[in-house]
Parts: sequence; C-alpha cells; structure tokens
Amino acid sequence: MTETEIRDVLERATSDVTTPPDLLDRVRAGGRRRMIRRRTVLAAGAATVAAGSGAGLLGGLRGHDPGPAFARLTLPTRGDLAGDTAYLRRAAARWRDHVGGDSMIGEPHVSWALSTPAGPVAVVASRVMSGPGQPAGWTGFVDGDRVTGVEALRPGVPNTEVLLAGRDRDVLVAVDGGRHLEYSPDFGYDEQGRVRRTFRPVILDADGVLVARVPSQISRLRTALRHDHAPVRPAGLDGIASGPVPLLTRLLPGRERAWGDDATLAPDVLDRWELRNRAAYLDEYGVHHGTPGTHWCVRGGTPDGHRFLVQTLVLDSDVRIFRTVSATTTGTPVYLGLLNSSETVPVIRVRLPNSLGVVVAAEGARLRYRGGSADWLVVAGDAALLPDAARELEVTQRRGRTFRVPLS
Amino acid sequence: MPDGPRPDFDDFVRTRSTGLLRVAFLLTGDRHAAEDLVQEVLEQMYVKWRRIEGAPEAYARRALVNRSTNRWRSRGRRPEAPLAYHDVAEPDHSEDVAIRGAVVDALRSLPPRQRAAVVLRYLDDLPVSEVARAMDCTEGTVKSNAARGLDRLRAALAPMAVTVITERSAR
Repeated sequence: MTETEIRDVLERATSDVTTPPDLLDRVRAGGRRRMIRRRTVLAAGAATVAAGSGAGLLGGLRGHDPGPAFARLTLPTRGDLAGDTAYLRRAAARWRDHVGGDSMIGEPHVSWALSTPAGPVAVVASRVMSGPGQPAGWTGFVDGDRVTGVEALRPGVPNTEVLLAGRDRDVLVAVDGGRHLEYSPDFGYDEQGRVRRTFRPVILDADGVLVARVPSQISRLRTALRHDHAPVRPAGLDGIASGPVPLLTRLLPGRERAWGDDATLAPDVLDRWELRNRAAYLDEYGVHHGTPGTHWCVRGGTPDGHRFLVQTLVLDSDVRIFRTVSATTTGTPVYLGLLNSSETVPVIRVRLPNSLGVVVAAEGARLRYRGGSADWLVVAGDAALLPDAARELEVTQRRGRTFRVPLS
Repeated sequence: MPDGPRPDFDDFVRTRSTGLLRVAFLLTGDRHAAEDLVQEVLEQMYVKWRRIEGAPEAYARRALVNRSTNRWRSRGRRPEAPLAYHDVAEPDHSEDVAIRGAVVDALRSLPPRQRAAVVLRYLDDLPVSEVARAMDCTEGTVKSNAARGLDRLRAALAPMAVTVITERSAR
C-alpha cells in the first residue's frame, strides 16, 4: 500500500466518526466543575499552611480526598538512593512532567530509589483528586529519564512491581508489592513442541528490592514473571506489543471424503486437532509480538480417507510446525521442529507418513512442482497436498520473485 | 464571562473536536473511550484556556497522545471490547465498517508511540515537526516510529489492499 492509500484507509475508517451534538455543553459543564474543584483544593491547601500543620500536603488534604492509605503514597522512601535528595527531586520532577496535571495533589512520592547497573530507578506515586470509581492516583517507574509502567492506584488492585530497566532491558528490578513473584529467565520447547519454562522465586532483600542482571532483550522478550500461576507483565516493555496472531486457514479440495461436510463438522472435533488455543503450546506467562507472524492451518484429506492437519504456531520469530494425520476422528500432533527462519518467504512443506503425500503452502504464491521428470505441474491455489513422488517445489511470490525448494 | 474561557474556546470545540475525536478514535480503538478522552482533554483546556501558549490544537494533540498512552498502559492486560460491540454495520456502509474494523485491529497491534506517529502523520497529515511536538520527542524518533508503524500497518492491512484499491479505482 502506498502512503496515499494508507491515508485513504485511515480517512475511511474515521469518516463517520463525529462528535455528539452536546459535546460543547458537556465540556463546559465539566470544565466548570474542574475549576471549582481546583479552587477548593487551593483554598484547602492555603488553610492547611495557615494552620501550621506539619502533616504535609497529603495529610492536609485528607479531608477532601479520603482515599485508602496506599503504601506507595505513604511509606518512607526505601532503597540505596533513599538519602540522595538531589536524585529524589529529579525523579519526582520527571514524574510530574510526564504524569502531572491539574488534578495532581501535592508532590509525587518516591517509594523506592535504587541504583542499578542500568542507572538509577525510582518507583513513584502521586495522588489525584478523584470521585467514585476513579483512581486515587498514579504510580509507575522512572528509569533514567524515561517514565514507564504508569498505572492507576485503585483500592485492592495490585500495581506492577517489576521493571525491565535500561535500553536493553537487561536489568530486572523488583520491589515489594505484597505478592510472591516467580521469575523465568527463558523458555524452550519440549519434544512435543510445547512451551517449557522453569520458574524460581523472586527473593527480595531487607529493603524489599531485587536488582538482577538478565540477558539483553531488545526486540523480543524471553523472561516471564508470574504470581499464583497468573502472568505478571513487567513495566519497561515500550515497543513490545503483544496481540493476537493472525490465522491463515486453507481447506484443501477433497477434504470432505475424510472430514465430512464442513457445515456439519462439530467445532469440538476441530478443537481436538488444533493447537493454537491449548495452553501447553502457548507461552502463557511471556510477552510476545502479535505480529508479524502468522499461524497456518492447512486441513485436508488423503485419497484413502485419512484426515490431516498441518499447522504452525508462532512465538516471536519462532515458527513451530506440526502435522497430525489420522484415519479416525482423533489424532496425535507430531512436532516437526522450527520452520527455517533464514528463508525470506516462509514455505511450508511437510511430508506425510506412509507415502500419503506432501503438504505445501506459501501465502499468496503461485506454486508448481515436479517429481523425477522435468515437467512442472501447476498447483491450484497457494496450498495443496502433492503426490508423494513430488521432489521439488517452485514458488513465485506476488511480486514476481521465483525460487525453488526441495521436497525431501 | 468571569468564570470561563474566551468565547473562541467554543469556536475551537465546534470546529476542531471532530478532527480530534477521529485521532482519539484511532489512538484508542474504541469510540466511547475516544469520546471520553476528547472530553477530558477539552475540559482541561477549558480550565487553562487563557494560559495555553501557541496553537490550541497542538496542545490538544499532545494531551491526547499523552493520555491515550497512559490509558493504554493502565489498562494492562484488560482486553478492549471489539469494535463490533459499539458499531453496528449499516448495509450502505458495510465496506467502510469492514475497513474500520481492520484498521482498528491493525493499529491496536502497534506499540502506542508507533500508533501515534502513524495516526498523526497520515490521518492528520501533520509535518514531522508537528508530530514531534505532539509526541514530545525528536523528529528522528517520529520518523523511525512512523516508518516502523507504517511497515507493520501495511503488513496487517495487506489482505484488504486489493479491495480498497479496486474500490477506489471504481469510484
């Protein structure tokens, strides 16, 4: 798509988005409420100062905003930089620049101030004026000059207590959030292609802190954290967005003789064959790119009535490939390893057992194959079951580049 | 008018809010969240209208980007409601509804700053320097974010490219 076409698509996607007719009235009413609140706060602050209260701004405003006593707002600063007032001021100022607004009450509070191999890190929280259902404040990390992991402070809702610090995300910083965390440095696959991780406890020091070196993780994240068997997403992952992986499905001609009519195929039958929703094959605790990978699912039937399903599962740049072949309604997936990541265009080629044929697929490509002879035979579509005698595949991409791969 | 901003605030809201809402919609991927976001930003501007230096629209854009990024972060793992829950396809606009769904899904897959760079650069058609001001970063950062975001957007929208191009040429 050209830039002009992108512009066109964005315009069309928003063409019917219009403001509600009463927006101006709502804005003016809301704006007036904010002005009144602001004046109330200023007046309360002035009264507190005049009374000579030594309770500080948070204490002085408690009557107007009786939010819960969040530890991050109230406990004394901890960490080896807790006495470095210049750093505390700098961290608070950076936080105020990033998060601050009219609704912030008082000064940001630094809960932890730490020196780490990636530079100083602070955990900061600030209170805001709030109403029912609204957050009592904000909290997050100041990692060097970067503010990250900003979250709302809400009663009973834990806040992220882990940061992957530094440009290379190679320093793990954990602070005490009242939960027992477990940490896994990396993941791998077992012989069945399932994701395997080993977790060990995150042990905090007397200050409630763990600072540890971890492998550099710039574009893909290997580490994972969990609490009570639920994933914990660390802060500092700007640039790593997780999301759904698109699915490419190809239903090959002739599948009906093995699977029956698609319209009458019960969903639970396919669920037993497909792996992409099974927890054991996913990295439930890790964070991975949703794109640009694509899951493949090629379903068909052999001439003698065997069902087969060739599928891929994507985790970042890893593409695991599986085949399942069965003459009955259930089958056992066989893990075939990782698709060759050095190929610029992923080409799936899977030889089925017992000389049942070769499944090939290459998204959007024109395909030809040949056996021992020199004659090339054209394939209909970009996925097919080829005869077992097929030995070479020719792939012509949408943009015209052609290359050949062996079907050994 | 002792208790509010200058009358030109009303003109600003009337003339600029739709454009801001469209930006907010693509930043959040959710129409209701976008309306809340725009209202929030405009209320904030109402309070400090006299003290806003420079173009109010630039101020609004910057606030939208900041707040949408913070919202995205604070939502954490909570899934956003699919667009289909909020927007019912009308027969006459089914093509645009499909495009909107695909665009929103594709933008959601981008990191927030890439998303902001693409939306401001290609929906608002802003020069790089203006986008840099809105995102509070250097022009180089805008260019790299926009380029990366555009690549990923292209990849995500590739399946619908043929449809869009065909329809445009038939108009």
